[in-house]
Amino acid sequence: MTTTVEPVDQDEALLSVQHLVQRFRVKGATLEAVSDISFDVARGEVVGLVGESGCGKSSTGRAILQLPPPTAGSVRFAGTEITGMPRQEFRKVRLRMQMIFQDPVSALNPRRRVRDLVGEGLVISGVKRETIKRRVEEMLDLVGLDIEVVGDRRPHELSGGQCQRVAIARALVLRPQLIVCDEPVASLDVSIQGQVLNLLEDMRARFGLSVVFISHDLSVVHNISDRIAVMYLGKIVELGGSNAVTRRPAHPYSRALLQAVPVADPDAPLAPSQLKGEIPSPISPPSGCRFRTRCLQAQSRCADEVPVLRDIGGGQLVACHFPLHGDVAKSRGDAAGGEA
Amino acid sequence: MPVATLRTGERRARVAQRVSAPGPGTADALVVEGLTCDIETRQGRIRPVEDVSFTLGHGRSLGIVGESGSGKSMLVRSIMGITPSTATVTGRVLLEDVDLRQLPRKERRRKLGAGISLIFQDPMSSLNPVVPIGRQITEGIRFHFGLNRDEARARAIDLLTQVGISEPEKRLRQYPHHLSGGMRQRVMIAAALGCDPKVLIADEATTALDVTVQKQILDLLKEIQEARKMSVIIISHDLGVVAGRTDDLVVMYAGQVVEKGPTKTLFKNNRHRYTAALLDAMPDLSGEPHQKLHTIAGSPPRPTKLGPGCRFARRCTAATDECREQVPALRSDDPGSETHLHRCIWPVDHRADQAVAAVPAAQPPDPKPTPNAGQP
Repeated sequence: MTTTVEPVDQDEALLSVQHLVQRFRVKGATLEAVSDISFDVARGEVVGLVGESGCGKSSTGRAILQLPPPTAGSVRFAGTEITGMPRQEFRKVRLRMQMIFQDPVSALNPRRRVRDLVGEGLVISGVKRETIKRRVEEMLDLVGLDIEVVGDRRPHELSGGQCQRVAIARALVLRPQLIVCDEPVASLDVSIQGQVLNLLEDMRARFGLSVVFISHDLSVVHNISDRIAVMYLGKIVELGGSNAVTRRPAHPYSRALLQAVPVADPDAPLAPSQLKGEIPSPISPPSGCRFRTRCLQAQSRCADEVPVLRDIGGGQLVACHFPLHGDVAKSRGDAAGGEA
Repeated sequence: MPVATLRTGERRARVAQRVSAPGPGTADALVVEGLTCDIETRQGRIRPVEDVSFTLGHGRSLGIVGESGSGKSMLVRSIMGITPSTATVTGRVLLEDVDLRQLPRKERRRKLGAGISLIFQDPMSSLNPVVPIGRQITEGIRFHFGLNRDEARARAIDLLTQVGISEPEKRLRQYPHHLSGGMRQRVMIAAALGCDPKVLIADEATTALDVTVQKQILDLLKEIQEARKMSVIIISHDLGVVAGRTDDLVVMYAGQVVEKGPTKTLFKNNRHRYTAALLDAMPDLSGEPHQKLHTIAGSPPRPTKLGPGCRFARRCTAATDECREQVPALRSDDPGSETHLHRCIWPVDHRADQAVAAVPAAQPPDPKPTPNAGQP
C-alpha cells in the first residue's frame, strides 16, 4: 500500500524502518499510534521526527528500540532484523543503540551518584572496573562536566542542563552507533537549550553517530537534522532535506506547523492560521487523508483515497493529493484538465 | 453591601453598569511601583522579586520574559496577593489609581477579582476536576455581579461562544477531563473574561500546548483584547511568543528588571547584554542545519547565592571587574525620556556594530522609539 522509501542501498543505512505499525489497547478500543511508516537513517545522519503531541513520534522512537516491540513491521539495525530477535542476542545489539529522554531529572535514578549513573551500562555489559572509571571520567569531561565536582553528586543536586549532560554521557559512554533523542531539550530554558544542542552536535560529529531526533519544535529540529520527517496521526506526511521541508514545505500540514512557530521578530506579520480545529482522536482517524479534517484545501478526493508518500523531486517525499509544489500541475491536472 | 441581598432590579442595573461602562476612566489600567517580595526559606532569606515597576495603559499589552527562576511568576503572585505565607511584599499595585495593597481584605477581593484575571500555565491543575465546567465559569460572575443561575448560565454560554467553543450548552455540563488541552485553556479564558476584567494576565498560558494550538490561543487572546479594549500581560520564557503580540516588554533576570521598553526597540535596539544574548540563543529557521548556536555560558544564579554587582556578570562575555562590584541601576540613555531603561554598565551598541558591518555612512540613525503613552 505505501511506497517503499527511495531505494537507498540497504547496506548503507544503519537503521531501516519498514512498514512499522504500533498499536496499543486502550479501554474498549485499539489505538494505532504508528500506522505503517518507513524510513532509513544512514550512518552519521540525523533524522528529525516532528509533529504535534499524539502524532506517534515518540511511539516510533520507542518502537525502534523495542520499547515495546512494534505490532508489525521491520526494524533493521546495521543489516540485522531486530524485531523478534532472541533476548540474549538483542541485549548485545541494544548496547549500540541508546536513548535520551525529555525529562533528564526523572530519567536518572535519584539515589545514585553521577559517576555510577554514567558507568551503569558499562557495569552491566561486564567491562572491567578500572576501564569503567577511566571511560566515565573521559566521557564526563567530553560533555563538559568535571568528575571531581559532580562525580559524587546525585541528580537533585544538579541543574536541568547538567542532568541532561549526564544523560548524554550515560548514553554515549557505551559507544553507540545510534541514539534516539526524545524531546531532549523541551524542558530546558532557551539559554541552556543551545548548550545541549551544541553538545549533541559535537558528539555526533566526533563519534559519527546516527541520530533519530524527536521534537515538537521545528526550529530545533531544523538546526540539528539532515532530513526531517513530519508526522501526523501516526503517518509520515512529508519527508525531505531539512532545508527543503522548512523553506519549501510541500504538505499543507508542514506549512501550517511552520507558520505556527513563533518568530522572534516584532515586525514579522502574524500569518493567519492554516489549520482548522484540533488534532482528531487517533482511535478513529478520519478516512482517506488523515489531515483532511483540518486542511483548508481538502477536496472530496481527500476523504476517499489515502494519499501515498511519493517523491516530488529532489528527494522530497510527500503524502498529499494536492501538494503545494512539485508535481502540482500533474496531480491537479486530473481534476482541472491539465495545465502542463 | 452583600450582593445576595440586592433586589433583582438593582442587581441588573449593577451588571449593566459594569458591562457597558468599562471605558478608560483613569490614565492607566495597572501601575506597579517598586514591588519587592522577600521569602523566608530554610536556606535563608531570598528575594525572588526586587524593585519591579511598570505601567500598563488601557488597551495595551505588555510582555514579561525571563528564564525559569527569573521571578516572573512570583511577580504575578505578588501583584495578585497570592504569595506563600512566609513572603513579605512591599511596594504599590495600583489598579485604576486604587492601591490594592492598602485595601481591606474583603474590598480588595471585590476590586481585584473583577478587575484582574489570571490564566495559568496548566489548565488541568487550575480547573477543578470534579466540578462541571459551567459552574467553574459562573462562579466568579455570580459572586461579582450577583446574577441568578439562569442569567449566569446565559452569560457562560455567551462567553464559551466568544472563545470559540462549539456546542456551549453541552460543554457546560462536561468536566475538564472531557476536553483537550487547547479547549481547557479556552475554558480558562472564558472564565477569566467573565467579570470583564480591566487586565488579563496570561502566565505561560500557552507553554504546555502544541505550537499549532498555541498560535490559536494567542490569536484568540489578541482578538479578545482588541474587541474589549482590555489590557493584557503575557508572561513567557519564549521571546517568539511576545514578539509580534505586545506593545511593551520587560526582561527579567534573577528577580530584577534588566531591561524594559517598547517591544520593537528591545528586539532591534536592545542595550542589555542579557537581552541580546537571549535573542541570539534562539534557534531559528533561517540558519543552516548543523550550525552552532549561540549560547549563554553557565546557568542562572541561585537566589540564595546572589553576589554583589550585576547579576548577569558571571555569564556575560563583556563583564569587567566593575560589573562584578558595582550594582548597576536601571537607567535611560536618553535623559529626556524614561521609555527605554536598562541595567547594564557596558550596554550593547547596535549602531556601532552595524556601522562596522555595513559601512554606509549615509545610513540614517535608528528612529526614536515612540513614547510609551498611557493611551494608545
